[in-house]
Amino acid sequence: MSSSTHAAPGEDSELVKVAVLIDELKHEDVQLRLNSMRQLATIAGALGPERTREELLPFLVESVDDDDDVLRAMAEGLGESMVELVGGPEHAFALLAPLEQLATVEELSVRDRAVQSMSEAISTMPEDHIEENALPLLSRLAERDWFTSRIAAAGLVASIYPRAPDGARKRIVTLFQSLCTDTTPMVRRAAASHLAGFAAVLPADLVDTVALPLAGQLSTDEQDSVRLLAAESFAALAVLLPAASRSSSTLPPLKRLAKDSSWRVRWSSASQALAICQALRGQRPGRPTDAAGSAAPSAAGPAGAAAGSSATSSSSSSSASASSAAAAATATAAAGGAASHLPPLEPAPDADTGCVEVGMAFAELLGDSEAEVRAAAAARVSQVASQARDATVTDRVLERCRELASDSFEHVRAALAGSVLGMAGVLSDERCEADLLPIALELLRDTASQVRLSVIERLEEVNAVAGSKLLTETLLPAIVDLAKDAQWRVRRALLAFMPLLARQLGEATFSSRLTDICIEWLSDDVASVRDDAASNLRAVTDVFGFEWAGRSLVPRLKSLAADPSYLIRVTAVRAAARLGALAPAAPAAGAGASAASKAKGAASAASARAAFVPASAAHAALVDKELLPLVIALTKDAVPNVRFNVAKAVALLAPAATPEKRSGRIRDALAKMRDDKDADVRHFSGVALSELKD
Amino acid sequence: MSATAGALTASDLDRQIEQLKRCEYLKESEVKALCSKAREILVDESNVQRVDSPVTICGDIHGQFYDLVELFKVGGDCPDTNYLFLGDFVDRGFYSVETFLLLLALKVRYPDRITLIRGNHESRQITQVYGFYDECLRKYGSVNVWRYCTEIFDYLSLSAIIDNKVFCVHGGLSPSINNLDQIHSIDRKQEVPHDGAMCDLMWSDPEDIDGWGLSPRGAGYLFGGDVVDKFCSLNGVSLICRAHQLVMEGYKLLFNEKLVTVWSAPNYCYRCGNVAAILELDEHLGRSFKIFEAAPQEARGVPSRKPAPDYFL
Repeated sequence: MSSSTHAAPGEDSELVKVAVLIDELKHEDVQLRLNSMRQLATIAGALGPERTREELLPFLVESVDDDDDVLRAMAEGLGESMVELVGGPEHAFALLAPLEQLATVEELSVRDRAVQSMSEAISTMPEDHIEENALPLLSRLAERDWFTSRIAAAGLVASIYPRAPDGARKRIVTLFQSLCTDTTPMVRRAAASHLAGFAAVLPADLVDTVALPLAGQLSTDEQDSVRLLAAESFAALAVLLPAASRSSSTLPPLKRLAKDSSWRVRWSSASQALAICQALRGQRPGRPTDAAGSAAPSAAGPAGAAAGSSATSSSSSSSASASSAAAAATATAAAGGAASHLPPLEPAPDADTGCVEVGMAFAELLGDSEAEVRAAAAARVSQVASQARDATVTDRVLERCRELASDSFEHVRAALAGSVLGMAGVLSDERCEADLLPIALELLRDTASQVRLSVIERLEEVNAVAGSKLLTETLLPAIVDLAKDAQWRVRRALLAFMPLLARQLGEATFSSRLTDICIEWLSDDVASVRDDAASNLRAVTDVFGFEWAGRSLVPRLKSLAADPSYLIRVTAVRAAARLGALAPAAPAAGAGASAASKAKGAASAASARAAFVPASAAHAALVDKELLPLVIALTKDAVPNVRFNVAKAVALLAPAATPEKRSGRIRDALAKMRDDKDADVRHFSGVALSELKD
Repeated sequence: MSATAGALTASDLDRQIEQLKRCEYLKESEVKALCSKAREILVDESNVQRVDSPVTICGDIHGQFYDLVELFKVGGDCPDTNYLFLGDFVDRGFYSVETFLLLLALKVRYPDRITLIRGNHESRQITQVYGFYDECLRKYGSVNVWRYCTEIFDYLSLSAIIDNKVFCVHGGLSPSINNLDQIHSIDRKQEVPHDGAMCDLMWSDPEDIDGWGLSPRGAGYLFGGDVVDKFCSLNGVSLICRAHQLVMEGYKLLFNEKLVTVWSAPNYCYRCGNVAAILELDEHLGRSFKIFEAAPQEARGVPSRKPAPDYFL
C-alpha cells in the first residue's frame, strides 16, 4: 500500500497527516503503530472506499502478527464506524476478512473485540450477503482445529441467526449444539456464556426444546467454570419461557446448582436465585436497580420482537438485531439498556410457591461453608426476602443474618451491612425492633469501619419503618459513639444522617444529644469532615428554624471564629455563610437534593438570583445581627486564607441581608479588602463586590 | 480557549483545575501555555523560597493521583489551606501527568497559597527510567509534554524557609553548604547534577552517625545529628523538614525533633502498605501531623487493566 492519496488540492496538510499515519502503520515503534491504528477511520476516509477495500484491508489482513494493543485497536476500528468507509452495507462483508484473523489470536480481549466488530458489520449486511459471507465464515470458525476460532464462532451465532434464511437456521442451531459438546472446555465455556444471547433470538419453541436442554447439559458439565456460566443462563432463559413452565424449568436446576460441589457455582447461584425470583414475579432481572447482581445475565435482548418474526429486514428489525448482536458480545452490559424497551413480562402462575422454594435454597447459601458464597448471598438478603414474601423464608433468612452479623470474615459482614436493613420493608414494626435492630446495632459496633459505614449509609431504610422512639432508645447511643469514630469516612457518613435524625428526634432530644457533636465536627482533624459539618448546620437549621440556630449554633460559631487555628476559623466563616445563605428555590435545586448540597449549590449559583427562596424575617435578622458581624469581624484576621473566605462568605450572605446592610457594612468591608496586601484576598473581594452590584 | 491566544485567565485555570481534579489530563497546547505561565512565576522564586506560616507540608506524591486527592480531602483544598510540597511529584505511580499538572495549575492560579520545590525525581534522567517519560509518551503520543514539564523542573525552587525558622528541602543537607546564603548562590536552572550542593539537597538522607557518610544511593550524603545541630544553630533554624525516604508511619522525627521526614504517598507503589502524613504548621509554627491512608478503591477511577485471560478463571 502506498501512502499517496487522491485528495483535493488545498487539503495538503491533511494529506500529509494521513500519509504519515499510513507510514506509521508499518513503523517499527509500537507506540506509533498503535497511534496510527487508532485512526483507521481517518486513513480510510482519506483513501476512499475503493482503496480502503483493495489496499488497506488486505494490508491489515497481513498485519495480524502484532502487539496485542495494536490488534485491539484494529479490531475496534473495523466495527460499525468502518462500514460506511468501505462503501456501505453492500461492502460490509469486506471487513470480515481481517476480523476473522483477529478473532482467532491468542489474546482474549482482541478476540472479544473482533467478534463484537464482526457482529456490528454483519448487522448491516444485506440478506444475500449473510448467506454468501457470514454463514461460510461461521462454519469455517466452528470447524477449525484451534480452539480460539471455535470460541469466536460461539460469539457470532446470536448475531447471524436472526439474519440467516430459514433454511440455514437449523444448521446454525446444530452448529451451536456441537460447540456446547466441544472437547475443549474453553469452547464449552464460550458456548455457555453466549447461550442466553443465542436463546434470545430463537423462536419460543426452540428456547424450550433447544436452549433449555443445552443449559441443563452445560450445568452438569465436569468443569465448574462451565457450570458456573450455565447457571447464569437460567434466569435469562426464564424470561423467555412461557409463564406456566417458567418455574418447573428453572427451579430444579437452580436448586441443584445451589448445592454444587464447587463454591464458585454456588456463589453464582446466589445471584441467580434473585434473578429467577424476579423472573417468576414477572420482572426482568438485571435491571440497573439490581446493583448487587452485576453478574446477572439476562442478555434477554429484544427477544419477543425478533424471535417470532422471520428475518424480513425492516428498519426496526435491523436495529433489533444490532442490539441483539451487542447483547451477544457483551451479554451482561447490554442487558440494562435492552431491557428498557421490552414488553412487560407475565408473572408465573405459581410465582408464590416458586419464590418460596428459591428463598429456602437461598437461605442455605447464607450458611455456606465458603465465605465468598455467604458474602454473595448476604448482599441480597433483603431483595430475596421481599421477592419471597413468605414468613417461613423471612424467618429462616433472619436467623441466618443473625449468625452472619458475627461472621469471622469482614467482607461477609460488610455485604450483610449493605443489605440487611432493607429487610425492614418485609417486617412488622415489632419484628423490626425485636429482630432487625439488634443486628443493625451489632454491625454498627463492628470492628471493621467498612461494616459500620455500610450500616450508617442505610440507616434511613430502618427509619422509614421503625418509629422515632425506637431510634432514640436503640440506635442513638451507638450513633453518639460513632461520632468519634477513628475512620473519617464513618464520621462523614454519620454527618449526612443528621438532618434525618433532627426530623425524627425533635428539637429537645437533638439539642441535648447531638448539637454538641455537630459543633465538634466543625473542628474535626479532617478537612472534608469540617466542610460537610459546615453545610450540616444549615441542613439541621432547615428542620428547627433560624431562631433555634441563633440560640444553639451562633454562640458556638463565635467561639470557633476565634480559634487559634486558621483552618478552624475558615470553617467557622464558611459555616456561617452557608447557614445564612438563601436557599435555592425547590425546582432549581433538584428533587431530593440534600440540604448540604443546596448550600454548596448556592455558592456556585449566586448569579441566578431569581431561583432563590427569599429570606424570612427570622432569617434576615439572623444574617443582619449575628452572621454578618461574626464574619466581618474577621476581615482583619492575620491569615489571608481567612480574609478571602470572609469575602466569599459576605458574597453568599449579602442576598439574604437587608438592603441597608448590603449598601452599608457589606460594601465597606469588601471595599477595604479590595486593597488588601494579599493578591487572593483582593481577587475574591473583587468578585464579591461585582456580585453585589446587581 | 485562550490557551492558544497566549493569555491564561483565572477562569481558564479554574476550568483546568476542575478537569485535572477529575484525573483528566490537559491538551498538549494547554500544557504548553500552563508551563510558560508557570515559568514566569517560578523564575522569580528564590533558591530558598520564603514561605509564611500557617502552611501544610507534604512529602513525596509520586504520581499517586487519587492519593493526592485524598490528601486534599484530609488537609483541605487549595487555596483554603496553604501548601508546601517537597518534590517527587512524578514517577512510579500511574498518574504522574495529572498529578504534576494539577499541582502546577494550582501554583499558577494561587502562587501565594502553594509552593512547590524540586525533588530528585524532577529530572530528565530519572523520569526516563521511573515512568514519567513513558507515561507522557503513552498519554500524548509524543514526548512534547515531557519536554515542557522537565523544562519547568529546572525552574523549581531548591528549598524553602518558613518564618525564617523551618528549613524545608527534599533530601537533606550538603557538606558544601553551611549557611543558606550558599544555597542562594547556586544557579539552579539546570538538570539535577550528579554531585555538588544542588545534587546533595535533593539526594541526602539523615542517618544515626557522626558527621558525614557515603550514601548508598550513589548520590548525596548521609548526615548525622551533629551536622543538623550545627546547621540549625548557624542558621537560626528550629526544624529541618524533608521527604525523600519512605516512612511506614507517614512521618518520623529524628535528632531531638530537629529533623522530620514527611512522606505523603500512602501504600507507596500501590503495595508498600504504609500510611502517609502531612505536617500542619499553624500560625505559631505549632506542629500537627495528619495521617491518612490510600484512597479507597471506589474513590479511584476505573483501572485500565486488561481483564485476566479466561483460562485463569
